[in-house]
Amino acid sequence: MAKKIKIAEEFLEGKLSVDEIEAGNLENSMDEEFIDTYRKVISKNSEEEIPNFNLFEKTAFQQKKERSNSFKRTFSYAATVVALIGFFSLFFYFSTIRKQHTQPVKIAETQKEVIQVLLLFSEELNKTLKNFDEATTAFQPFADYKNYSIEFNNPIKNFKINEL
Amino acid sequence: MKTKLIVLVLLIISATGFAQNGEQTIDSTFELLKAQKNISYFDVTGEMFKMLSETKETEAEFKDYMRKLTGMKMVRTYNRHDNGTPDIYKLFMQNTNLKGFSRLMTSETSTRKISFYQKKSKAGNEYLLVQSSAIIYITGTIDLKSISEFEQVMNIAGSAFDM
Repeated sequence: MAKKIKIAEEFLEGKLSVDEIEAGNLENSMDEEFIDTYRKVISKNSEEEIPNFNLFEKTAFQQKKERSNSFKRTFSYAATVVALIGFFSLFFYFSTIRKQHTQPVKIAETQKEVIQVLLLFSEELNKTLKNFDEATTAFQPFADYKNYSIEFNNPIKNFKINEL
Repeated sequence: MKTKLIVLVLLIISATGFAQNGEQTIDSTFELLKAQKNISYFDVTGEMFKMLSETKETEAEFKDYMRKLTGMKMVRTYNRHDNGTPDIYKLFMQNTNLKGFSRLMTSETSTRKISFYQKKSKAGNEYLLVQSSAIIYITGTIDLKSISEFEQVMNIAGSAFDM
């Protein structure tokens, strides 16, 4: 590579002719192509306009192509990553929202059911206790009632016969 | 007198035999019952009670009550006129080992029978209501008085639940 650069520099400085370069070992097809193109250009009339010739056109094109391919690869990879992240974010977002909506509803339903069960237990317990109270009162021995004072509405209670 | 004594002895035998006839635990009897026809089953764990006690927008009395509960199970019959609906009182009594439980009371009429059981331990108390149409099993550090007073708790906190 260093040798090539040196040859190119010498050629540009005019120290080396095309023939001299050709006489040397041509290493690859690119050098041949370059020499052919150069010969075609200088063989034409010097007054004729020289076409726009770029020494590194092919290399630049290849590099551009590689850059383009590399960019496409990187872009598609990045797009896939972004799409995946977006998809998972949306999935988690909606599942969280759904969870947030359903959880309080479920808790409220359970709460209501728990209350109903406890109320049923409590009501039945109180009902049975009331029955128990009534039963114990009903079967209480009459002797227990001796302290109760029974007041009848007696119309002749304060009646005095002498006052007639 | 002799006849009365025989009847009394028979009653005691039947009562004790009835109460401890089964071999299964309460949990496994509940599993058996919930597999029956026309039965609805409801089970609340201690974790859920913890969650209920931490719920916002509820009254403090209700939260205190929830904190004392560690478990609740209920089976209930529906469509009682269907011949396939089991007599859950009988099924429960026949299958459950109620050793350690003391029967608090039993009330019986021609249409319904109801029994209350209690088991006290250091870890917590267990309460059982066994009825022809529903069986409720409650565990926690709650006492029987608190259960009977739940209606009052709900009278205070009820408006928060639209009940």
